[in-house]
Amino acid sequence: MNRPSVEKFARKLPEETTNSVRSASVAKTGARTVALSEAFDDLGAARTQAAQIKDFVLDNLPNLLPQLELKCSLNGIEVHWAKDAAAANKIILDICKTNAPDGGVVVKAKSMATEEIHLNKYLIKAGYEVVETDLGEFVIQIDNDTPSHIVTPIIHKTRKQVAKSFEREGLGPYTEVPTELAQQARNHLRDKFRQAKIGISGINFAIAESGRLVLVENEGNNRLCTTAPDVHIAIMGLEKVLPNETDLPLFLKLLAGSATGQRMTTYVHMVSGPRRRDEKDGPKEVHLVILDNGRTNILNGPYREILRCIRCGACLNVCPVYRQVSGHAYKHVYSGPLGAVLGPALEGIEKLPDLAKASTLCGACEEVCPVKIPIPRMLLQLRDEAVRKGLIKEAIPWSIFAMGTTSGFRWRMGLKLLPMAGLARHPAKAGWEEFKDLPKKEGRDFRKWWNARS
Amino acid sequence: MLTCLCDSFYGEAGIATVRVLEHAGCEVIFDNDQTCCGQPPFNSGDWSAARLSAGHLMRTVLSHGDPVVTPSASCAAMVRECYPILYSDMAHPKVYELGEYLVQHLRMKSWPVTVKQKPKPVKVAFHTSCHGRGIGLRGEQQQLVASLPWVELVPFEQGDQCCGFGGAFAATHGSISAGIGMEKLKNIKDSGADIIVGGDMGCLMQLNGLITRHKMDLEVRHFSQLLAEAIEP
Amino acid sequence: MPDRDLILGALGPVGKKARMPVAPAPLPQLPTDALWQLFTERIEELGGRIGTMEDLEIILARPHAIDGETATRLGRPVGGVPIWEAEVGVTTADLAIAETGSLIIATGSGKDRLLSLTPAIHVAIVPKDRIVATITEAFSRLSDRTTVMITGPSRTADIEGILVRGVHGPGDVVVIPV
Repeated sequence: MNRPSVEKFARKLPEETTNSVRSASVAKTGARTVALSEAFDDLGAARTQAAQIKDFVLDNLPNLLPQLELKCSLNGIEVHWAKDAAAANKIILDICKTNAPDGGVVVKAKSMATEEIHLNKYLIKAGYEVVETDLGEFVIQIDNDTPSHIVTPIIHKTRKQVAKSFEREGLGPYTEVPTELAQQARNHLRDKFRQAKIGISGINFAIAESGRLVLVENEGNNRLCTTAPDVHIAIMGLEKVLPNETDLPLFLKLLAGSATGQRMTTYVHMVSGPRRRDEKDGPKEVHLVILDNGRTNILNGPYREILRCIRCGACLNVCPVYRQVSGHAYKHVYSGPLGAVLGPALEGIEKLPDLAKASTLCGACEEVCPVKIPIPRMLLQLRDEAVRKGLIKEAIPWSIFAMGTTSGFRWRMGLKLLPMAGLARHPAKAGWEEFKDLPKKEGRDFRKWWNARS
Repeated sequence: MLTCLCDSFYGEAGIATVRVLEHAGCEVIFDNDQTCCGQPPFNSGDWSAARLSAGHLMRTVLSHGDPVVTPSASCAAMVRECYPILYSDMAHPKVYELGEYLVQHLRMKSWPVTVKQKPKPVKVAFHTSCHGRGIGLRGEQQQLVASLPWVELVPFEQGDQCCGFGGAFAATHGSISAGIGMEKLKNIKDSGADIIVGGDMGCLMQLNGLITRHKMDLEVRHFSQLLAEAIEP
Repeated sequence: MPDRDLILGALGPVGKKARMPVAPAPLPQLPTDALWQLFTERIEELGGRIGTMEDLEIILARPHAIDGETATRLGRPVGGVPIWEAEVGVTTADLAIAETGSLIIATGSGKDRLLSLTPAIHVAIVPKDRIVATITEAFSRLSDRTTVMITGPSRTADIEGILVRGVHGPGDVVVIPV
């Protein structure tokens, strides 16, 4: 049997990695529960509310996006539209070329949208020194690695590994103390912030009524990227727009609690445009790139609700499979339950046909989701789509099984033959037996007992 | 409604379920022509195969018009929540999990003990199944089990986490499935429990496969079996 | 066709089930008195602190920078060292929020955004009457300029989930109610 991709990855994963991912995920899930129960009298109602607002957004994008464009323009933010990754990369490179024709440092805040379009590679190829400034993303960059979590990118690394990387890069004397490692990164990156002409960020929310971009972070690097350089380029998936500023408190609280178990994230930066004439600092230009890259396809298909996602990562943290395998197993920038839906939804199921199978369908992801995305239902729909399109071959011939279930007689015959199945070779049986004992008949047979009674 | 696993391997859980329902005052009907609810093909993505199984269940068990009770939240979830995905106009069928039926519909708060020879005291780790949470169970099974005087329920870490079964997942993603299951067993072992009790034989089969493979000093029981032991034969 | 038209075309018409968002979900109600006490608890939980004017004098012995409005309020000379060299940045916050221990600071005439960000210590002066109970209340009074809400010291838990304060922003936040 061809092993599914996630299982294949899991088998090669060092136990050390599983342990780091699991303990961090368990801790974050615990912190989430505490924070959200304190933040809301009725968490269920708050999540329903957030889901409804997001559905309203998805229904009203044809009005909200032009409204956002207009209000941003009035705030002095230049709005660009990009149908795909190539278009977005080109727009961003053109802005870089205009403002820094000779190359130079581009500082970056953490952004999944830029991961999605592989922006760094593109800008580096064009001669720019792209520097990730979020501590975790910085480690990822110097290690030539990829993030294994959408919120905590180095969840798969130990402090020893980080210490070795910092020593190798000459960032300071060898230390395994996280505070000292953070200080070394701070010192190293300070110069980059001062040199950079351009700062690039994602956004968490964009407010249509006010044309304000909302960026949420804990470290301060995002504010630096979007304040110190002369040019700030923000990129957003088109589903990230919110109608009103009054929607923000709810979403900010849900995001802080769900992502990191905080009451509120340390910095909520609400960008109303470039520096005004009387202000002393801040970027002289602000650009907003609105990215489609497959989202309008999702919007009109069966996985529409995945576009409610606010990228909190709670579904990753709570997922028993993610806890075993880490984000890299999903072979996509978006990992965990979210990635298992968003990956195939964005890229087409042909590219990631078996990802939806890497789930026990336990439902924990939907239970923690701040916007109540029915992830298990969508995983089932993806499995159905993959089977209908002939993209995955089932080890068990379900149509034959199903024929057995359409007649009481055939079913009872099948049950009688079951002990013989124990002798047969079957890939599904082998997959089970490799790690655990097969079940055997225990105690009395129900049907015999029932028939003897009546 | 009997489950496939009770039909094939774990007849005792099915027998216990009948005895429990009768002790609670129900008349139990079993349709000898019933087969499988169709969850295995449904979860594997073969929805046309699943519709064949579902159609048969509708023509047999569901067509009688009586409330349907099954000793598995997983099978109940399939019929109640997933048939309406297979057939978009369908109302949620009236299928109940055993504990849910006893507590929410028959309003039982504790289990009436009639057995004269009381069983030995036992420390129970109660495994709540994910499908139980999915259909909205709120501790009904535990409530009845905890009302037995000889039972002590012991809490354990990560009690809500999945056992790693997931149907075909347990075979196709064997190492991950076993990893999740071992995590659960480690947490249960640390709690000092003697036995694991649950409401879904799928979870218990998964855990038992690991217990016997690793020769752990634990055993699994369906909660109906504990309730049945409290009934004087 | 331009990308704008492609995307707006692909969105299709406004959904039939379009509805206005319903009223905000219920949030805990906070007593309006004792707001500063709650604020103090919250900011201390985060590793920030409440300071006094005496504390300020000690802190200002270090290389510092102050914006014009704050200097006037404190009766001190404007300026100080250049912001990137300052160990202490002194600003005035527009609002304090009790439920989260947050500060609201909007950009304004003659103000530096970096003052609350690059120094290792951020001192925020807050007039005592500028406190509100909830974020919702604070957001109903936002300036239309670029604004930041700051909740405690800069932090990360990227390395093994261990909390570290003062990564890129200030590791020490001192709030002085006046």
